[in-house]
Amino acid sequence: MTTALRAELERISYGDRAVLRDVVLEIGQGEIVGITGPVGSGKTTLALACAGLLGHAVPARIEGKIHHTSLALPVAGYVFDDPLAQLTGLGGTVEEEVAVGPENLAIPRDAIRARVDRALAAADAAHLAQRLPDELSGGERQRVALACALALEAPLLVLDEPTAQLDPDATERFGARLRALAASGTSVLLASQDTDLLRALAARVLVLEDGSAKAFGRPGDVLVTPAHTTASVEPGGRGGPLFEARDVVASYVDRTVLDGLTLDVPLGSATAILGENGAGKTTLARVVMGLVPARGGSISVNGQPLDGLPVHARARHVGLVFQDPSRQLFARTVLEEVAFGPRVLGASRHQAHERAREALAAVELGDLEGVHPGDLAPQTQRLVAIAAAMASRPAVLILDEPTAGQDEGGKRRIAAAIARQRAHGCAMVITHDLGFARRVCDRAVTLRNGQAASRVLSNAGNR
Amino acid sequence: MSTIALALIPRAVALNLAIGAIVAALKLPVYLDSIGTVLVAALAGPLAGVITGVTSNLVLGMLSSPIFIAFIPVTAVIGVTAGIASRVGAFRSVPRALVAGMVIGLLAGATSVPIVLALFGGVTAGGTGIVTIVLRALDLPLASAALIASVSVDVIDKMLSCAVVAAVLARLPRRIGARFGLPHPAA
Amino acid sequence: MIARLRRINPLTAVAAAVLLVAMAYVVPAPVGPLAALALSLMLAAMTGAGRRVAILTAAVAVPTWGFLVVMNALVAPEGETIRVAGVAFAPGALVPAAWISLRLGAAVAALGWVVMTTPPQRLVRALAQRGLPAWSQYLLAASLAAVPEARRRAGEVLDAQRCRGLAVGGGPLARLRATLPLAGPLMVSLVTEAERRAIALDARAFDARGERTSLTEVADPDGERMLRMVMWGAVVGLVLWGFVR
Repeated sequence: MTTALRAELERISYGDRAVLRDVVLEIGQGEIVGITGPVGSGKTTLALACAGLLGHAVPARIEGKIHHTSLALPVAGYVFDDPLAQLTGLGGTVEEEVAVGPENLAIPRDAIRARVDRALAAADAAHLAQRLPDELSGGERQRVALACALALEAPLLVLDEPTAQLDPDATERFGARLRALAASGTSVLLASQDTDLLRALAARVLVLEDGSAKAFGRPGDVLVTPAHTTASVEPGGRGGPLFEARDVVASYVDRTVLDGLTLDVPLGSATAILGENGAGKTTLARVVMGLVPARGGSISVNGQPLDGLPVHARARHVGLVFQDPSRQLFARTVLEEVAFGPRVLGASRHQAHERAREALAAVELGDLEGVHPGDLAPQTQRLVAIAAAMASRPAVLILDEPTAGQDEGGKRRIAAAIARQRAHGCAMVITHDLGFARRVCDRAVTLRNGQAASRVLSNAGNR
Repeated sequence: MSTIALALIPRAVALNLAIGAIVAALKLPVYLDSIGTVLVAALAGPLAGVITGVTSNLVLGMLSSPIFIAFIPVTAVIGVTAGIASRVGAFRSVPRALVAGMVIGLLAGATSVPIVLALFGGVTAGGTGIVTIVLRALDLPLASAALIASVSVDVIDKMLSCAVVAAVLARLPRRIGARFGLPHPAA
Repeated sequence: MIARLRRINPLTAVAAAVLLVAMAYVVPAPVGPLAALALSLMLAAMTGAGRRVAILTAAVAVPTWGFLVVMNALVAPEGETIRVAGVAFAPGALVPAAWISLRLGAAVAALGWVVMTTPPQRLVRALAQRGLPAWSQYLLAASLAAVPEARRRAGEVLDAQRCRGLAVGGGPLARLRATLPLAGPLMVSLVTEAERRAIALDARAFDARGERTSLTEVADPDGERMLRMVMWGAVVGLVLWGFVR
């Protein structure tokens, strides 16, 4: 097999901080090579370096050699996790956005046309050509981002957590595109936390830990199967329902999303909220918080109806953690950030700090209280947001897709937080991650046609 | 200009246009519609500030009303003044930023007066216009009335904008702050 | 003719609008402003934007006229006054107020026609074809593209902070204090994301000073180029005349 890229890196550092040491990586032509490792292990740095993108927008010092077999420029196409940030906005429609790369390379018009069509087809996005990027779903945007990278027609494709924000269906579809691309000769470097994805796609995987290579080989040899907890989830439900939703109806302009939904969650329960995209999982959370008005029905916590209460008053009873923590982080330290909820709900500074420390301990982040939230990895920011919601001690905690992009350590911390919540209240976990739901939830509710179907998950923890 | 400053400006322009949603929710008597311009100027200097201000009003002109195009000189003045203020350390603390906001507001208000006189006969329909009319009722000459009205509205607006920007700069993560040459905030 | 007008190069439309604005402000009232307004509305009507441009124009010109009348005829009457229902009223202020708002209306109508009939991205592309540097193409196009996302994000921040217990109502001081938790996340994420946006630009081989080509071409026939030169010439002529007069 011809080698497309060979990297022999002694060291990569930002300022005086070394993030990568002694890494050797090789990708053959048409091969998919994976990089994995915990948050902060250097995956993104290695991906950027291999794509030839370190040293321009990101000042970094590279010691060592990265040898690309092809001398053509650019050396690689690059795709990362954030579906919006990677679209430049230079083009109005999807096809114009895909054309931005070739336009920057000053390729003649007819040749751009051909490249754009090829790239859109290869990314399974030809039908999106005339759409506006802003109107696409996350999965569609990610395929457009892939098309944008492919339009450069570089021999190497580097992807950094490309599926972190996608649901399982979209992830599978995206993976299938990558496999097809590799089969047609493109070399692929795929950095991902998702070991299932790597197992399905990669010929070889490099495992990083603390910036060093721990192993490099076939996925079956180097990827450890996460030790599933054999202890079953304790059955939840003590006494009457803590959270009650009765015949809730909610609709957007064009369609009814919740149509007479009834749902009880008892004290001590963690309930998984499952269902396909668009089934109304997030809408349910928004209705509970009062962000979307219910057109009918009632919701109560601890027997006290929430209906008619403003959003900020509901925050005393319900904590909702959104998918994207960047929408709420603004404080100077993690401690201040987590203490914000208790503070605005009336706790004294001292009391708020005490509760914040307690909540940080629940997600095992006590040692980060003095760190700036913005200096943390997005996955860790998500844990901070969970602590921030727990610090107000809500009776009901709702987490929206908490495990997306999390590594095993992150999942364990989220599981610990949910266990803690069950001690004095209940939790609802909106998720696509069935494995995680089995691990932490004692029951599950599937939303379909705007209604909820319940089942008990207890004692299924070892499946 | 660095790629990172270039990448910052479109988002700051969009912030200028989008902050209205938050101002409306808070029901504050300000616009804060130069807050992105002040932020960019504070991070990347007067030139980047001017570019942000000018682009904001061009985009507003294209998306909302062509009238905004006439006020491009005002947003340019805001960008350049905020950039210079940043060079002398005006955004290192909130009290300093309030002073800078006052100066920026005075200059911005003064710049808009000739435009308002030439295009609107001295009175724009809206809050500033009502203040102008009240001042005229007190027998102030038109130019002075327009100047006082415009400056008073702009001073409050820019003081709050600058204070928020200073608070945000103090809250930026160290790693990214360092990219824009900000001193490490005192721990 | 009308079909042709709808496919006009955006730069030709801009030149026409600027000429109309110059006409409104240089040619004495009422002829200049009235003619400019009528021509602008006619162009708008022919390109299917008549109603929208008329509404936009009225929304600027009518309140301006109202405010001017209130100020110059009622609150601070100048010149001769008559008494209307016991209130001093200076009828002499009505006509100058009408000319000011008419000129303003004509300018809004002329530029509003361009704005409402030209997709902004098409204008940017037409400018790019005439040599607008890559960095300013990016600034204009990306700013336009970023607006809907920024609006959505402002709403998300509002939602997220209210869900943490932040009350957005309350007294003036409380509302002032709520500014930072609401503006803060928007501004912090804007700065922290700049690096990733810069990487995205680098990843697509963007060079701020480099030559770019374009997938789509905005047609620019020779006739239109000639017309544009004539119109820009007329603008210069009008402005010079305005200074001399």
